[in-house]
Amino acid sequence: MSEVTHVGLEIHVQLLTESKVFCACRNSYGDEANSNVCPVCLGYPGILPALNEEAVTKAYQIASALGCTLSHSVGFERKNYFYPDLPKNYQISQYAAPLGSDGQFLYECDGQERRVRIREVHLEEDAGKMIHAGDLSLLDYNRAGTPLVEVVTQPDLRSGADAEQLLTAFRSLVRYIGVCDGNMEHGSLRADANISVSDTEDRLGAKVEVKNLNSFKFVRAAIGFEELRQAAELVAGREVVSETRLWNENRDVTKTMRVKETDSDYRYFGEPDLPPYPLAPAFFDEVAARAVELPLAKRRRLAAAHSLSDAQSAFVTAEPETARFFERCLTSGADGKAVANWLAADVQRLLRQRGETLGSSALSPERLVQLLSLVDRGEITGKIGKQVLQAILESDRDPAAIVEEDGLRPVTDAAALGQVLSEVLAEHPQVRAQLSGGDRKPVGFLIGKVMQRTAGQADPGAIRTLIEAEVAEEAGG
Amino acid sequence: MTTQQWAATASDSARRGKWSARVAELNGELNALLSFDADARAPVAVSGDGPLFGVPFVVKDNIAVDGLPLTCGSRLLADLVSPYSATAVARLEQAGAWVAGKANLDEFGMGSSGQHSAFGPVRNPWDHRAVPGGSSSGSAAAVAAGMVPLALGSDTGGSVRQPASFCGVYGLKPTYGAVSRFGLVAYASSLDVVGIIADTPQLARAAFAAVRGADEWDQSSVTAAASQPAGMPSKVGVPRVALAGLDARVAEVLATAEHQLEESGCTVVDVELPALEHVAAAYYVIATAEASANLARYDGIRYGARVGDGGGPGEDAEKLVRATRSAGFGQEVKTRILTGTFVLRSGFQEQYYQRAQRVRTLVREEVERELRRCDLLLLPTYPVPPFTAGSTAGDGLDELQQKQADLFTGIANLTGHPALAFPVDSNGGRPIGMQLMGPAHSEEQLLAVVERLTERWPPPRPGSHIGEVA
Amino acid sequence: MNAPGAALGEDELLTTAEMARLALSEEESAGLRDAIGQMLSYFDQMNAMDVSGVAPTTHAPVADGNGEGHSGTAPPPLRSDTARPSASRWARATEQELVARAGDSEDGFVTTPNVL
Repeated sequence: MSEVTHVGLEIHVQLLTESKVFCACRNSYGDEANSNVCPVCLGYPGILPALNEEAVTKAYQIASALGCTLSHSVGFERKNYFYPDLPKNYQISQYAAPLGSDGQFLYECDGQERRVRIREVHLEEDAGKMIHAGDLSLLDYNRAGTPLVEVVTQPDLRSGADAEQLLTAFRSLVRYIGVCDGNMEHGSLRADANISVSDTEDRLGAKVEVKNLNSFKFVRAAIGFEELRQAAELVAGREVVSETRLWNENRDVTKTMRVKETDSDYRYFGEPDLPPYPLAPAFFDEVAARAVELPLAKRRRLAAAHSLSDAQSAFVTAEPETARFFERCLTSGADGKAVANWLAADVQRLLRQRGETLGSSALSPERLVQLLSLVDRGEITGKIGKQVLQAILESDRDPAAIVEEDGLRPVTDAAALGQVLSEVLAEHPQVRAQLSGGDRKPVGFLIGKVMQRTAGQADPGAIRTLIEAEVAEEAGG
Repeated sequence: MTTQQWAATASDSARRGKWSARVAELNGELNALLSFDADARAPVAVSGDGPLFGVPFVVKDNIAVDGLPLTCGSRLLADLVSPYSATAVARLEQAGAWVAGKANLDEFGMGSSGQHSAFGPVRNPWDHRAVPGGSSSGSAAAVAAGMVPLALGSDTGGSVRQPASFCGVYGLKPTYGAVSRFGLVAYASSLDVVGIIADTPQLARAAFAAVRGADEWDQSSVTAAASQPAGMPSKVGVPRVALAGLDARVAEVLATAEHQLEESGCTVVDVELPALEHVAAAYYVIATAEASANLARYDGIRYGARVGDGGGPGEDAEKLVRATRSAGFGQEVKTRILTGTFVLRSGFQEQYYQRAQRVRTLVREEVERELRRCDLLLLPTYPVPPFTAGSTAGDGLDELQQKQADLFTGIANLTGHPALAFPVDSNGGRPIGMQLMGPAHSEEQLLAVVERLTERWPPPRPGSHIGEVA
Repeated sequence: MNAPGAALGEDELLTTAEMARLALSEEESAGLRDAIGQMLSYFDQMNAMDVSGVAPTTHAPVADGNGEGHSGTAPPPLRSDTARPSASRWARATEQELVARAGDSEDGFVTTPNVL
């Protein structure tokens, strides 16, 4: 018997807006408890929701990027359930007419294009946060009313790895569009997974929903766990129970979440406080005007235009910040392949060491282009280039100034280099003997020694010329 | 009393004292007001800005006034002080009127008798044995007794018009959305409107002009151009067939009103409203469904009294919520929450809630069709005169009969149209009112017609009345 | 009309009460069962009306007397995305004052007995 796994995701995206979705409280993470609350988001009697236009626009930007059919008016439903973090004890969400439906998400993974169908995209309000402390639960309503977009995929994924790859690409997408910071630790991006394992390809198995997945790692692990658990049930001849489970990150297992039958009937009905709001053509023009080149398209275009490797194009386009940086380098006339090389290797390594990002660092596209051009023109060696890069990050100076001020120009002076070469040859008589015997193998060794002695400032070309001259002299003499 | 006379009383502390004492005395009999303060918000000058300058008004206690309690007639919110004011209150204040107190009501606006307040029943100023109607019972009784000339109420299925009729005053239910609901504690959000109860149609018009118009904090509010009253309408329709079985005294007063309209130059015609028969059922399905969600927020966690919070081991939040709600809500509210929860449940929603929404569509289509045939519709406000409180014997009505009797008022809430209840006859001690219903945003027209009728046939005044205090 | 309570079984009442977070005493539940049962029976009279093919009215009607939408009426525009503290809007209460209104609070948090 071979089991077939189907996975669908419900991805929750907190929108980057200044205010909450139904009131003017600040939408901000990490503030003091209950410092961004008002009678609206605390569910006071008599208050009404006032829909944030920017939240609607950003939600439509997501739906539009996913190629969804867009609803011409935006209306809401009430989803009824009691929970202390839900101030009205109903959530304003979309049910009957989500703002986006029937889309698809295209992304690339391991050099292959993937396509996952999107069932719907809807806008809703987030709930507050609860901390359990002994006999008490502490409630913080700062998050209550944060605009939240839920993207629901079809069960087109096959594994935890699939899901992790999709989420990685999706995170990149929402960051490109600029609607979400994608910070999973802060809960800006969260996912629930629906996993069903079946013993036949023809139909889906019982659907098990796993909640509480706040990292890509957990998504992958929880789906993996469920796959094995459900398959084992089937192998043992038992039915898989359709239920909601919670990921326990301390034990790496999923556990049944106790949901009372009476709490799973949400009694949806149209939110009377928000009559379906007709969106004018100008609204859709604005959504269209905000459209950006999406990660996949950008990756393909840049890879083809600059002969980038798979890894390079993936790196350069994963983060919008990197992609913007890369493209600004291109407009300054830099060679794309070289820029990608530098970014994916040294720049990334140094930034990580320093705990910086491209945006927060002192490296600007102009400075990188300057640096590359110094190396390209042979004004400095590649090795010195790396030193210059580090100096830029450390001291926030231009490459040319660093080369000048730190005395990093290559030593090309034949007399000075000749002096060093003679010293090296004197210390290694057997090398001299090899060279005299016509053996060219030690040339590289000699260049390395001279470089070392000149702290990398020697021009390797110049050294080579000197060595050749030396050999010719020996042969002639 | 005129607006100027009220301003004179309001700005003079000695007069306010006399007035206040008289209000207190009357309120002892009627229990119309939950709070009254003649001084705190009274104007200091005898004249000032605004068409309503100096006019005191009371606010039904399910409408928020900053710094005043917002009990909704419920034990559950007995200690809640509102941190903000409703838009309608703020707009009346901008027009120069001032809040003198909060009015008693059926808990959360649920009731048509004034007997369902946690703070005791309200009595009818005309006859203390009779109910004042509800749920804006205190607002209507206070205006009828002359305590104040103006009150804000809310009308979800007749809650402004029915008590206005029972108390012999004017009750305007505006077009849905014409007045912001911001600050009105929701009972049934797609039916609720803030309404006006006044002792003259002129004052009702001035108050409506002050409160109308879209509000950024209520997405269901609209701004409409004020309709220009075009004299008396030529054609007024009466749904004759649907009125078979009307109480004889009400039928008699309806005939009087028809006669008055004809005397004033209107043609009265018969119209067909077969769906009227289903109005009360559809209304209660939709109202209770929405109420079940609207009242879910009262869980004792963020505000309001908590019950069952010992804080010790074995306690949990869910028990607290259940205990708070069970102890806090009255029987009628529980009945409606449970009914509304039931009709939304999966498996029952199609049969009740969704059917009611379709009936609502048919009712609206019928009303719109008849309003194309004639200018206004004339209807009784309630099928029987004010009934006796506390008994189902004699002329008393049980809870279900009271609900079934909401058909004539519920229709305007289902369709969203404006309707104005006006006093026609005192029926030898218990008033009977009629209502005119018109196209969307025709409030000015309704008020103008009623003003004409009132000039010619002035309504009488109840026994329990404050008299002239100016 | 059906006998009182016929439309609502005891189990259904309890399930519904659980959804609504209401605990009903025994004597209370008998009365409520009657009252709700009567209402449900009354609602059943809507079955006499043919509603096939009729679109539901899901929100408050916004059509005018001619059924063609309000002429010259406009809902308020959607709210522009500007953050303002509670007390700078229509509310007078600050965030701290609002939290203090909760039955129990601690260090700025609203507290409840443990949520299971």
